[in-house]
Amino acid sequence: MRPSIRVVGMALVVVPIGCEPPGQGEDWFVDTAPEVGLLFHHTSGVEGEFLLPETMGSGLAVFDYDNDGDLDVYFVNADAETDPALVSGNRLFRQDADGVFLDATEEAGLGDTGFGMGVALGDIDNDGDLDLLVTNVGPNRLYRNNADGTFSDITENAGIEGSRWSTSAAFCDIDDDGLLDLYIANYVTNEPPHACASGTGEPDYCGPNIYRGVPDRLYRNDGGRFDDISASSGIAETARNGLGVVCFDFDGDARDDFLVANDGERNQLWRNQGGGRFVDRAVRFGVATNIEGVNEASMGIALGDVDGDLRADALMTHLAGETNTLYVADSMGMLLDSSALSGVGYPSIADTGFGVALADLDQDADLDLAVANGRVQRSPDSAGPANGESPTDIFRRLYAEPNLLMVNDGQGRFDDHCHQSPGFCTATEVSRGLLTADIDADGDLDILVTNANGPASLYRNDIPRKGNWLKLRLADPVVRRDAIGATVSVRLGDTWQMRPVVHATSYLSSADAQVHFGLGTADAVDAIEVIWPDGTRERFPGSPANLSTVIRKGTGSTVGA
Amino acid sequence: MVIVGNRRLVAALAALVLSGCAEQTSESTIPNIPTVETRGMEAPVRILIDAVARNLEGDRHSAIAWGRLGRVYHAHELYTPALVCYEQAIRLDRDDYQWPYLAAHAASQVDKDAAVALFEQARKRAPRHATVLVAQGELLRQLGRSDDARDAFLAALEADDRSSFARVGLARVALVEGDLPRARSLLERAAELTPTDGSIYPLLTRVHARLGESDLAVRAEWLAKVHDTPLAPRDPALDAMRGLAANSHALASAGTALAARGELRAAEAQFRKVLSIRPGTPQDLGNLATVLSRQGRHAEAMEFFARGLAGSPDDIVLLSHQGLTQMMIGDVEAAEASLKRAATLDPSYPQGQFNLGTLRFGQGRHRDAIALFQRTLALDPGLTDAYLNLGSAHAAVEEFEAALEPWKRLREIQPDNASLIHNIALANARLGRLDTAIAEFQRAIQLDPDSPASRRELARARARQRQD
Repeated sequence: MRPSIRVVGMALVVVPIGCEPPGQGEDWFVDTAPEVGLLFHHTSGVEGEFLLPETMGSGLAVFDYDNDGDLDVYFVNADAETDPALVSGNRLFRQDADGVFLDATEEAGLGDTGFGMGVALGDIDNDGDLDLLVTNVGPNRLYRNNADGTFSDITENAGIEGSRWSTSAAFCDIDDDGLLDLYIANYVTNEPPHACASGTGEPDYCGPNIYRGVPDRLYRNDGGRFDDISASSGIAETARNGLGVVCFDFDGDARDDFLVANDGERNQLWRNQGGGRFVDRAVRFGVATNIEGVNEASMGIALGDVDGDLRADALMTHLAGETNTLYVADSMGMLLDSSALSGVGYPSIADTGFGVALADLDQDADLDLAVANGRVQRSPDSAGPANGESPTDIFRRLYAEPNLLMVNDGQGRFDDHCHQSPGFCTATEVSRGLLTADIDADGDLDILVTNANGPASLYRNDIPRKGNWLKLRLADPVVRRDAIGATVSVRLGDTWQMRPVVHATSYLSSADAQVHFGLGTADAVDAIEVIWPDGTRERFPGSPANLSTVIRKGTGSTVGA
Repeated sequence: MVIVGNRRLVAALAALVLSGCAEQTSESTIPNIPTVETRGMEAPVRILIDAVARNLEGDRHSAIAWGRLGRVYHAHELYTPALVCYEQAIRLDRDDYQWPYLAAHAASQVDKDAAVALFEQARKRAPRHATVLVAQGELLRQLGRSDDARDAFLAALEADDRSSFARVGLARVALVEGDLPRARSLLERAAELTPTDGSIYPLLTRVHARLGESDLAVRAEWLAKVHDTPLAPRDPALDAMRGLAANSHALASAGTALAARGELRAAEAQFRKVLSIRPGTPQDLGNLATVLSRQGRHAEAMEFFARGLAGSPDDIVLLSHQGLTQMMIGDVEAAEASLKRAATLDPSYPQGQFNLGTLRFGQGRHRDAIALFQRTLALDPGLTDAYLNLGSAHAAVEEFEAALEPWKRLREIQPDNASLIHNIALANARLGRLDTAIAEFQRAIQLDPDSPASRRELARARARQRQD
């Protein structure tokens, strides 16, 4: 059980004027995965040897792979052989028109059986559908979407090489040539396996620092092949324990940079210098460490404007004993650890966070926070020998932790709202990947979670009396795909909200690029403004609430920089 | 067995704090001794817990006995039973600050509200203990209580006006509040007092950059890469607690810390204890081999390197350290093989590049050495020996101007390194800058009055100056 401190002194949820408070006792999120046929069970070959890859979990992707208008889900799996009763390899679930998911893995050709870690989405050939990269402990796989419900493995032809332990990856256009390039975060050398022990000497998973970090990789998309420019770009100059990566233009120079979450080592912010060169400016930007100057065990990353100042802030999840860290951007684009003042630090101290989302779950016009938690070091409170338990049962007993849900008060301060989300927060799983998406197309954001050696969950958003919403897709007709790297803002009266347009997010995961805004009681947005990846700005007329719409580059009115 | 849950613990600690420990301790108020499931633990841990708990059974009115079991639990990350023991030590001994102080540290792992109250109690017992005040301030700051945190840090400064840690704490508060000039002045003074504290420079970089002080920001950014480890105040109470840890992981960590401080015999003892608890991993064997090698016991070291590499032939850390040992015993061929293999297996391992560079330097292949030392510094600007060796390699090929560059950089980090300043003086002398050379030799002699080389070269430089 979560310590009682979680609910002491908790404030009531802040709701837009005119709304009634949500009903007490109603669970905000209900796991409907079995109900809708999203039957995925992760396995990682746990056999009591405490091998580090077993505990990392795997990621997921949410996207409309067959362009039929609803979201499908792809789960990465790690090991296929321990339990023949479980479905093997990675799995693709296609959503039918009635909201039921069917396993489409074999017909799609996406059943990679490598020791899977993460997945990255991106339209690498600008044909209007999403391709995907699967990262593994071992060779990664790149799949091209054939636009007919199938994928082709183009790894070798595309030049994706290596057999490292890769984790998160991100597609974005680093050189403004219209083609999505590829960053792959790598974790550690995993050889030889070490024996590690808990504080009392019981067998346990090692931390990453017993191994050496591995340099990440950067590939430039030349239209048919991906050229490895890790060395020439400077990315290969340092070897760190990379787990999470997002790309975003942090310094506003119209070039995408990479923020990498490193486990137990300084994070990196690879600033795009142009000309294919990158320099790590994480110290300068304030995201290398927490405000104490301490390297944290960074796992997942979420981007979002938590305080409504139209600047992207970043939240990184961390190990128990550390806090989740919220870096809030200032007027110079620098980021300051504001975990204490924002309230995100304290409630996260007891648990180990991985997947993370900043999303307006209650649609009151600010970003809330959902975190997937699960230990990496065994729980001292769960000590004791196995009594007929399987290795998987022992794993879950020793490492399961409750998830975390926090609600933004509109000023960038967060309160723990687990008491209203027992279904999500008291799940006793070792949670890892997390994404938010409007899976059931009802306008609000649901939460998908992957669990290491456990079943995936789909938490349907049942928050009562939510605000209105608007979903936007940003399309660039010239490159014929989503405008990855853009930011879009909407105005409600005097206030603005901003969202970055990204695929890569959270931990080992990747999402459809449609952005979602909560509007509170407003029945329309007054204006929409887009900063496109090339730095140009356009303003578009407002939009009524509660619909999905597409904003096309070149169809608005140009705004001076 | 008493199972103590966090919920009950919070209530118990809160009651304790509110009561101010006013009640007399009686037999009825002494709780059962908290026990834990010890099956599965490493034998030394189990034996230690059993022994200390048994000792407490016979001395249940002793704060020290309760505190010792609390510290043993705490050292092994068993925070909940540790807190029960500390609670009893606090009741039995109303003066010693260390019981509420240690309890606060344990509580901060599971319940920060309880930790706040316990720090306050420790502060009442030791109102001028700077370490207690800094720890309290940090916790309050983490909880967003900036005003209370500032009070605690200021009290720490009053208690110890040379506390860099109190200044860093105040700077963090100032930074969050947007008071950049104050943050800068606090951080600059902290850097003067504790220049190797890695927690200072990331913040200083940000402050300088935010104030538009680009050159200073660049320098601070570099120093942040050089000094990448935050330091903590000296803390005998915490050190004593941690010293009770008997598990192999803690022993290996202690050995590593001792080796870093140059206490090689003590480090060796720790690493041997680790090998007595668990089968030696390649890392365990490598640790022992390395401290043996550093003591000049090369044959013994080679034996452990061989054992480690038998289990892990591609371990580049082992290969690299073995190569260095082979170099020291003059087996250049074997050193070449080990170091080349390590550098090829992972070109991004800075120590491997450095060791190979050192071998190349010894072989007279100075150009190769220069390239390897440059690569080392690109990979890890904090590997300070590489600055020294890079300068020496340049000097070996008479590139004195180039030699001065890394040496001057190193001087920024090690302003009192007499050998380095001697080298800088020599390079200046070779470049004909005799005034500078003489001043530098004088500085080197000031730092190391017994250095005959500096005295001899100073005399030469003066003679040349007279001739000129």
